[in-house]
Amino acid sequence: MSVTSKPDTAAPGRAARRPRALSMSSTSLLFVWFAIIVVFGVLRPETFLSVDTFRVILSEQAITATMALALLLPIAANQFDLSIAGSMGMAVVLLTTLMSRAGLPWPAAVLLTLLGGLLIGAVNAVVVVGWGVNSFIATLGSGSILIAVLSSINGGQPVTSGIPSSYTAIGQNALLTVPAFVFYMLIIAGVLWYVLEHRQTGRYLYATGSNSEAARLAGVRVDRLAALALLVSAVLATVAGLMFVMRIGSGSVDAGTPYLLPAFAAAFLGATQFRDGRVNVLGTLVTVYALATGVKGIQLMGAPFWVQGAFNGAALIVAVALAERSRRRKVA
Amino acid sequence: MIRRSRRLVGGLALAGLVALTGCTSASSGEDAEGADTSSLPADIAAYLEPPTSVGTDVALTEKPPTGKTIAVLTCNISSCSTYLSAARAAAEPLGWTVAPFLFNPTPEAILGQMRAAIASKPDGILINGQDISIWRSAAPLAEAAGVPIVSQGSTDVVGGPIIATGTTAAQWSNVSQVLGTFIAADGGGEADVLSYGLAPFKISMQIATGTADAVTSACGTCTAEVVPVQATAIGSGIPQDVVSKLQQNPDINYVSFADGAMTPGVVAAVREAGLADRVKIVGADAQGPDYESILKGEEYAFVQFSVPTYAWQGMDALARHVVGDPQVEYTMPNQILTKATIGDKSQEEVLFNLPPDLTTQFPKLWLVGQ
Repeated sequence: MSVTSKPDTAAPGRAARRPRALSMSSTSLLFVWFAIIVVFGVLRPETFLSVDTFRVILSEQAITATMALALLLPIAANQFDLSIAGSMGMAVVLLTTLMSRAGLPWPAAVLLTLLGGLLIGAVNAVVVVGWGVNSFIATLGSGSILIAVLSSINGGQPVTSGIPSSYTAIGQNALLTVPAFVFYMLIIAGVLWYVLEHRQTGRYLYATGSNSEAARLAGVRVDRLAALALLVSAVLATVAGLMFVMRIGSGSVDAGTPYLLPAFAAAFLGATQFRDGRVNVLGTLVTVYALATGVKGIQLMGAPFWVQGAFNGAALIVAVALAERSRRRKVA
Repeated sequence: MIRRSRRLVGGLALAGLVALTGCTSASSGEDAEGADTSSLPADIAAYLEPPTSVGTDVALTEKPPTGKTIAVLTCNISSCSTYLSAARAAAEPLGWTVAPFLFNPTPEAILGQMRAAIASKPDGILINGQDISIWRSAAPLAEAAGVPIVSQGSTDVVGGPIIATGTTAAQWSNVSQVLGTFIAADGGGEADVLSYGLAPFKISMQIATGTADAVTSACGTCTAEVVPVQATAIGSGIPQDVVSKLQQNPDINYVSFADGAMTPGVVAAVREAGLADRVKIVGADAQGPDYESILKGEEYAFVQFSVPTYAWQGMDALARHVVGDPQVEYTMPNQILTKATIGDKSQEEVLFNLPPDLTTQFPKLWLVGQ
């Protein structure tokens, strides 16, 4: 799926020509990010320009980044997965319930939770690929059903006790003062980047998203790839839920809801960066952290709470406008 | 060559994972000192003990008839779920049933659910946390239908279809007075406070503002900033804002929340920012996670008011209306929860049952089960 450019109709197996690495059209958000750091570094050097600030930004956005990464494969295959919030909520509720109520050791609870995520992905795949329901509708529906079912468990109350410290420790242990769950997110990003950029599966996914009929005629198993993408997104959203419990130490059914919109914004805005309209790992991560850096700067300036939403919207418009302006100049 | 490099990368990643999971925890799980309450004024120190009254000791003149249906309107955050569960528990000894009407905290949703509740022709309505200013256009419908409404967790007064409010503005003010005075005394003249409140809920903002006022009234050298936030910021925006404000102002040493429902993620965010030793997290209406955090020393103290207690008070008001008894003025049972005052008591005992024999005191007043 492309955000701002024409569909990529290159045959599968042949890499599309990549834009120049440092052109404005493909790196506008990097410039915006740099400008944000300069501006707030000048305005608040004593608080903004510190290792603590950047470490906090890194930690605070790890789960948002993971949820955004979860969306990349479906979007690459021209699918939507709006059930990731429900999958994350399922993971949070199931994991905490298995550990605290059923008394399972955390490795078993994690495994069962991941299987739960796989099941959600499988259901989405059956409905979207097998029954032919539009993915936007299907996953919107499955996500709503998930939240409703989860709300019925324990009266919607969060699970707050019985979560072993041995589990939270695997997320909260720090390497170079950075919590472990940040590294888990980076590992996921690394694996996804490798698959999307250097494996045939990645090329076929982009081809499917670009022009599924042409890809099918070229021999790509588009249905299988779409199903795989939905499976992976559900599992990665489940992993985000596991990370959430590591970080917070409790679980509530609506844990995933606040991450849905930022995840989509990051995935789509990230598509304007580096890969000329295609969703990509690096663009997504740059988007998450560039926006978070701006929000942090605004918070350190003492701005009211509502300014954050306005900033995110403005950054979205500026970055996409810069990319589109540069692309038009190239075409002209 | 390529396969070997892939194996090497995979091996390094696995080794890193093992190293991370094998490391001993640097910061979590160590109990911190509990709150030092020796400097509290006597009237505030009295709240360290659990209350003994449910807010009234006036029995009904006759046993209420069974078979009534009460519509309960409440929101969809954790403290509201507690209210609904308590309303159900309170209805049971009366032989009544509860019909829930849950709303997202938007004016349209609240008004819509109030209209739906009235249209269901219940014997009474309990609404929690929303002033009549939101659902005023539905009030004539309730009056015309003869449906009595008990408005709780709000700044409403009796009038129109509202037959009782359970708690008065003075009692809500008492929560913030106790909390603010506690902070000022604990801070020893050096308390600098962030006081968070949920903007969609008037009572929440009243507690947040009242706490800030109580701090600055009790301590001339203390400061307090009120921070209104939206319910959608719970778990994400609030923790980020807390950390940013702590980074921006190194003097802040107390962060207060008008409701424990606002604290998810705050302890983790403050810990990750390396600020846990500098700030004390306090508030009102502790929830389950706050109970755990207080025991671990991650949160400091909460002024507890029992959401279940005022749900039972609401059901009591409806029972008085049904039998034709005059309404009573309730007091609000409060307790300051610290690591010491919690001790080895369960969540149920300290968070929800204030006083501990809440669920048996009211049935005695209602003359049921005897």
